[in-house]
Amino acid sequence: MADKKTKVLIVDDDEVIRIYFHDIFWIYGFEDRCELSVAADLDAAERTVVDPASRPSIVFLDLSLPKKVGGRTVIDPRYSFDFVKRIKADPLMSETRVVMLSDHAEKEFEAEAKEAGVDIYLRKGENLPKDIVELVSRLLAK
Amino acid sequence: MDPIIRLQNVNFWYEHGKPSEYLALKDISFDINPGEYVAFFGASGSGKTTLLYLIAGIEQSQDGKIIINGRDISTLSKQELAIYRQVGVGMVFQQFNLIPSLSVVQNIILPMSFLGVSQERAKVEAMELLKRVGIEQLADRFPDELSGGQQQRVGIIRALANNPPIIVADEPLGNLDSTNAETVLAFLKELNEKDGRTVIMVTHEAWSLRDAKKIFFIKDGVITEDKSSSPKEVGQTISQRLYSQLSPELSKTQLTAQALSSLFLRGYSAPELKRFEFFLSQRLENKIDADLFRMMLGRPWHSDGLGLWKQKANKVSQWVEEVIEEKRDVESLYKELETHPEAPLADDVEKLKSWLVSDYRGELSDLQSVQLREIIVDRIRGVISSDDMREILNLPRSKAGLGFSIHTAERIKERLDFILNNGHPQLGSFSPV
Repeated sequence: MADKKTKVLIVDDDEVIRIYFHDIFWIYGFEDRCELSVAADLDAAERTVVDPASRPSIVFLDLSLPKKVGGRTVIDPRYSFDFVKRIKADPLMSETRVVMLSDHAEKEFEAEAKEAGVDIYLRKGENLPKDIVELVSRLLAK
Repeated sequence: MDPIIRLQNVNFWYEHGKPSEYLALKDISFDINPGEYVAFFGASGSGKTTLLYLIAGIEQSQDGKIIINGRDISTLSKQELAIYRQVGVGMVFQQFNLIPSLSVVQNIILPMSFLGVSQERAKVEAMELLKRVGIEQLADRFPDELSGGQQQRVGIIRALANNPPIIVADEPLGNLDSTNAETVLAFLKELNEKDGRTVIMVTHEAWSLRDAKKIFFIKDGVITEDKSSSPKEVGQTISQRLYSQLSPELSKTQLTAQALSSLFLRGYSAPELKRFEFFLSQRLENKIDADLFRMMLGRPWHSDGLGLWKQKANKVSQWVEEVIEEKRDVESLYKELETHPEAPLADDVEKLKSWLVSDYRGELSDLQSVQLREIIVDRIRGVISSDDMREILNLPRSKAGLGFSIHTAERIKERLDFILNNGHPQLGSFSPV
C-alpha cells in the first residue's frame, strides 16, 4: 500500500513553515494518503527529486532558499525558478505539481514563477490553516 | 474508525522527583473518536485539568503516550508542540485569558499571527468569526470593557482562529451567569454538531454535561468510569453515580456536602466552594446549629465566613435545614438544582445592579456596569465597607471611580445597605429584570 501514497516534498528554510505544513498533513489525516518529506535548502530538495525512491509528485517550494554556490551559501529567487524549470523539463517529473510559497508581493515574481512552470503561487501571509487544508485536498483529488 | 486522541498508560507527577512529589494522573488510558463531544467530570483537584493540558500540549507527558491522530505528541520538540497548539487544538479557559492590553479583534488575530498570517488576512477572518457569534460590534473594545459572557465568547472565537479540529474547554462556564452559560454551551454544541469538531470539556458541574456524548468520571487522578449515552441517560447517570463514583471513601455526610456545594454556589471560586463544603459538613454532622451555620454563610470572607449576601445565606440554610429535617431527600434536591440551578452570584449581582440604578436617569457605560458589578460583589463579600463603596461611586472616572454625583452615590449605597443589613425581600419582587 505504501507505494500508492502520493509523495509530497516541502522545501523551506523556515522551520516554522516546515512544521506548520507537516502538522497540517498530520492533524488533518493527509498522512494516510501521502508520504511527506521536508528539505531546508535547494541542495537537499534536488537530492530528493532526483532519487526515484523519493521523487515527489507535489512540491511546496519557498521562493527564496539557500543554495551552495562556489562554497558560499546564496539566497536568490532565480535558483528556485531554475529548480522548477528543471523539474518541468524532465520527462520523469514534468507532471509534478509545484506550489510556490512567497513572501514577495511584487507581481513580477509571480509572473516569473508562472513562466518557470509553477502551478500555484501562494503569498505566505495570506493562508490560514483552513486554506492550506483546502488546497491540499484539491491537489490530492487530482 | 481510528481515534483522534488516544492516551496510553499516562502518569503525571507535579514536583516530579522532589520530596513534595504528587501523582496527579494514574495510569490513564482512553480513546476519543473524531467528532465526539466528551466531558471529564470530577471534583476540584481530581486531575481533569491536567489531563486537558496534556491533550492540548500545554503540559508534556512524563510517562505514557498521548497519541493525536496516530502521532505521539510526547515526542514532539517544543517548537513542534507550540505549532500543534495553534493548528491542532483550540483552548478555552475558565478565566478567559484574554490579553487586557489588546482589543478584542487583536486578541483573535494573535494565534493567526503566530503562524505568519498577515494582519490584513487575519483581521478579515477575525471579523467573520466575531460575526458568527454576533459580537462584531465589540471588535475594537478591550477585554475589561466586556461582560463575562462576552469575554468568554471572544475566548472561544480565539480558540477557533486557526480552525483547529479539536476544541478543549477548561471549566468554560465557571465564571458565567446562567444565561451566558447557556449561550456558551449552545455554541460548543454547534461546534461539535455543525462543524464536526471534537469537543472536550472539563467540568465539575453536572448540569453542563447534558450535550456530552461520552463522560469520563475522574477522581484522584484515576478514571473511575466512562459512559457513552444519550443526553437523557447522561443526566440519570450523574444522579445515580455522583456519590459513589466521585468519592467512594467519603462519609455520606461529606458526600452530600460535596455534591450540593457546586450547585448551591454555582459561579463561585474553588476556595469559596471548599469553605462552604466545610460549613455544610459541620452542619450536617450537627457540630454547629442552624443559626451559626446561617451566620457563617453571611459573615464576610475576611472574617472566616463565606461572604454570601443575606438572602442567599437564608435560602441556602433553609434548604440545608429541610434536608436535615428530612422534609426532602438529597437526591430530589440535587435533581431539582440540576434542572434549575440556583442562580449563581453573577445573576444575583446583575439583578441587584439593575435595581440599584433603576431610578438613575443617566445611562451607564459598559465600563461603569462592569465596575458597579465588581463593587457590589466586593460589598456583598465584605471586602469594602459601605463608606468605601460610596467613595468609589463618587470618585471621578479619571481616578478609577464611577463618576456618579454624590447624591447618586449616596442613594445607591443606601439601597444596598438596606438589602444587606435589613432586607429580606425576594429579589424578584424588586428586580426590574
